Amino acid sequence: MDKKRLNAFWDNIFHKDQDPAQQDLISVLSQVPLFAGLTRRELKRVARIAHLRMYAQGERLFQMGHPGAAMFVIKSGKVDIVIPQEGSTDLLLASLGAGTFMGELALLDDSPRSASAVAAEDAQAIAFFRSDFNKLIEKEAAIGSKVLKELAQIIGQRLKVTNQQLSDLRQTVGHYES
Amino acid sequence: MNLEYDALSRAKRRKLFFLISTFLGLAVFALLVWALRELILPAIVGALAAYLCHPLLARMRCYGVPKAAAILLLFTGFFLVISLVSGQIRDAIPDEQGKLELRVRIQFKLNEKYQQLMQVDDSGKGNLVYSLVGSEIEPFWQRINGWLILPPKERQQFEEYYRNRFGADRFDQKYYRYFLANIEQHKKNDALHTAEESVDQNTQVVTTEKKSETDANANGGLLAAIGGVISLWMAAPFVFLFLLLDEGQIKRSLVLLVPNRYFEMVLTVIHNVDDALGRYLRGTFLECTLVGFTLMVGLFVIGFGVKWAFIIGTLAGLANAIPFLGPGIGLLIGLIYGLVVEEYTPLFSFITADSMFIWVLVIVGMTQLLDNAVYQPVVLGNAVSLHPLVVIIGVMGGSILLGFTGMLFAIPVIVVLKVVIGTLIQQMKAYQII
Repeated sequence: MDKKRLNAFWDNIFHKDQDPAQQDLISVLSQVPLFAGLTRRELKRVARIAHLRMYAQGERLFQMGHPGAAMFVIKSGKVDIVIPQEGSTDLLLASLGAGTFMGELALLDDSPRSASAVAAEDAQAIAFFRSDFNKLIEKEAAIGSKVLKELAQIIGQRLKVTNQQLSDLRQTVGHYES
Repeated sequence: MNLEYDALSRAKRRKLFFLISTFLGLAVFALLVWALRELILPAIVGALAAYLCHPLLARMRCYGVPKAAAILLLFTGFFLVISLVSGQIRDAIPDEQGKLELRVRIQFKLNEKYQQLMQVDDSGKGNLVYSLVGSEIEPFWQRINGWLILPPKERQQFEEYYRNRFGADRFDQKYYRYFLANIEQHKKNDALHTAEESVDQNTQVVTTEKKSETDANANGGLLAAIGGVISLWMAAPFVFLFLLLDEGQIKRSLVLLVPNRYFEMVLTVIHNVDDALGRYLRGTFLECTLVGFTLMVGLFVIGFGVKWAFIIGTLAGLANAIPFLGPGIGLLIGLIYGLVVEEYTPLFSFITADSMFIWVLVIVGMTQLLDNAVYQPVVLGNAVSLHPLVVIIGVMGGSILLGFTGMLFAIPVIVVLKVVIGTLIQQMKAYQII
């Protein structure tokens, strides 16, 4: 009994986290491709730098043209990626659901956002701030190498898709021109 | 049910709720700060130490040291340094008798140096320096002697102590001879300035009597006061420990209060402020440590004992955090010690007791030169810089508001304000809020 009490005392001080919300966060993060290679212990470390945010329908997660400072993982709800149009409805690029992530380039630099993200319905998102993320990968090199490798692969994949789309578009335009 | 109307009133209610709770929260916070104002300094010291130790903790974690072990190591180091420094300073503070002796020594040595410089004879005539500036310096000199001379009650105390301890041998004791010489000098001055002196002395006796009454009252509650100070300063290590244990929970809890619209902007502002302030505080700490260490080595070289070189170096290093005034404080402490020092072991034979004053000046000057030419550009190179006028007004304002504590913390507070306001405006523009 005394030993248990002593363990509980040290657990409180050194944050042996048994919080259900924390467990929930870890299980969501484990589904995200960016964190696919991480062990449970490493996911716990990543969860410690996460900010959980609630968004009402129609609220913006980030806006096109603003400097990017955080990457968002959707925990629940739906988020639309749009390009705002003056005087008309926004141009919808993609609609993302739970487990997907967006704004990952903000983890690399603070270049302006290329599109806006708007909550299509009440949503919960997990945000990772660039500076916290950089500190984490400096301190935990193993986590850093795994996450950055995944990020490079994802960006490479998206570049391939974009190239393919560009090539298809050129072919279509060429077809119409001829 | 009119949904649109309901949503509108809900938004209004929400706004009102947030406004009232923010106002109440701020009021409670201000009340708490005022009620617990005595805890602020220990908490700031603990927080500052934790802030300075954070990069060390990160470095240790990089080398694979477990977090608990790294914190334990830093906590032990913090305790050891604090106990070592406070122990040395406590030992150096003289007791009641020691204070009387120190006053006698300072007065005697000052008069000795003055006599050496001016060479005033019994008829009241001196050398060329005296004939040139004597009339200006003499009243100032008399006033200093008036401050330093022991008042009748303390003279009696000093006399009794030496009589009880040494009996007839007291006349062979160096400090007792100084004491007699001071009284002799005082009498001589009396003869010259009888009228002025009698007024001064009466005032002094009254002041001293009042002071002793106050001292007696203060001594009555001394134990309670010491107990209070100890229990208040117990907060410092706890603040230090829990801030080191914190892994961003405090920041995350604060960021939860920020509306979504400003979320990224606030995080960026916090990061930039933390970065700039961290660089400034760590740079200043390193600069002060280097200044203190240089002074310590310099004073040791010119013959100060290790203990006194350590104490003066530490105090001067600490005071160096106050721009402009800090070096002056270091110089003053060094000069006072250089004045009263009688046992010294210089590493070079050409350093004598008579030239100690000049050597202290040389060492402090060299330290300041090194500080300005090497330490500051290297250590504080890219940290926040303030205009000298802002620094002077800030230090004076801090001193008026909170005394020495205000002087010490004025510049960090101005740095925080400058960085917060600058970054906030920059980020608000970037996020198109203004």
